[in-house]
Amino acid sequence: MNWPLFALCLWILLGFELSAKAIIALGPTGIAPSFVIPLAVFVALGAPPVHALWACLIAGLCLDLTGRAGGSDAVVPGPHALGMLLAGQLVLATRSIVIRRNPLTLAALSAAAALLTGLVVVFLYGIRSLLFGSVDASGWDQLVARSGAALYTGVTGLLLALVLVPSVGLFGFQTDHLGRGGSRRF
Amino acid sequence: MARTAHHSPSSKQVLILLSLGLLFVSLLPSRFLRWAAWSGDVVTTVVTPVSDPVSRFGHWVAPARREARQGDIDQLTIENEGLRLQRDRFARRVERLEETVRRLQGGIGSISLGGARLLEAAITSRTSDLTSGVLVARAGNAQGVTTEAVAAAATEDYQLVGRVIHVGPRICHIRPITTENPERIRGRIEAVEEDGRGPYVSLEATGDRSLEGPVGVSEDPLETFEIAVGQRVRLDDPAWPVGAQGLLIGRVTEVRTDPDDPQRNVVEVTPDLRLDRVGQVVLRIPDLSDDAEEDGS
Repeated sequence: MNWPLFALCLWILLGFELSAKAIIALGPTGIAPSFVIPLAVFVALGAPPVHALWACLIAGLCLDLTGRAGGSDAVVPGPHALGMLLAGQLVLATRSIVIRRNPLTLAALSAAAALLTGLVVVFLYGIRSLLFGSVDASGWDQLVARSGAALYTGVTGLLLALVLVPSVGLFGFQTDHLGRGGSRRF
Repeated sequence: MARTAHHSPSSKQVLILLSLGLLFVSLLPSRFLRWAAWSGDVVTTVVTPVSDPVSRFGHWVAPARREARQGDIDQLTIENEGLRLQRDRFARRVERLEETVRRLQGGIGSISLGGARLLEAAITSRTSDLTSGVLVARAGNAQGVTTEAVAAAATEDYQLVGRVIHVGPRICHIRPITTENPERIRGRIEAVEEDGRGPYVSLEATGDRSLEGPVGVSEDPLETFEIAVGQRVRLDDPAWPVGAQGLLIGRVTEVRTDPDDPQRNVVEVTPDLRLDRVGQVVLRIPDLSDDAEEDGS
């Protein structure tokens, strides 16, 4: 896997995550798509398993470090990283039965990964709330907002697929040779 | 580019150990996670070359325009009277701005005003978790920003944006007043007559870009104050820095009777700007230097 290219894409998409997300959010609901999750899903679709999980963990950690729990000053490393690690595992488990080159695959798996990440984040923040009574993001409102955000992430996944899927070769993902025509899919 | 993947067993083990470590860390109290805030500042600063232009583009496409309100003749009349009363205040502000221009022309990047230093800062991004509502501004320790600072937006009237909750070397985080927060904020409704001082209101963010809360009952039973849509509400809260007092919280957009106490009114107050789309803020930093103290005294 081409790690420098992954780092470059993560840098760009994290920049979008911190800026464009607010612009395209649905009103004051906090429902906004993720740009980083589709990248992690794309890597998980094509990279060797351990590389894929590392990429998901790193991407999630970046989200944790640039987030603030429930408007407080607390930066909590872990919830997004663990959520995306599980999401990466989900993609690894399903990638053998999906058409990886289809943009809809990236869209659907991005939505699923975002939903799973959101569930883990709400769960861990919920435990923090119970333990410390802090102003952490938890509860039904959060769950609803993150579920909506997960669906919305499917849309960004679809758009990013148009850029990412053609760059499979650049990422250095292993490709499977199909048939005599030499057509490939990753 | 296709390569054969070789994973040493240790890579997997490190991943598992790291995951367990993160699970442990994510359940630590906030006081043990201060180092993470520093790491977050570094990551946020590193991505600023991407987030800043995108933010600027976003602010250009969707500016923090004034919220649409139900305008009627009564409201406009009240505003008109209020504007007349503010004329004198604006005249004083012009004097202050002229002083600002003189100082800036002298090469000073920030100014001292009534014991508070003003510093302009661009909003470069938000935090990745949009539900937190926190804004990231490009000014930090290096520019003398402290957690005592408050952010305002330069509109026709200084609109209070929020409080600085964290300061990094080159960035700071601002929590807007419209972000859901257990802390209440006390304001005073601005009257258009007499001394301009109306009743207090204890406001709490609704999560819908506005704040609401009960109106305080006057100690003087003869004193009456009619609350109307369109009246300004200004910060008058001892829990906030002195330099922030008097900043505009917003305007009354709805008045209704408190269902629990029919004698009392509840008002909804909406800021003049969409605080989540502000592109530039003015940070009011309490000037704690000796000179400022002498000036203040």
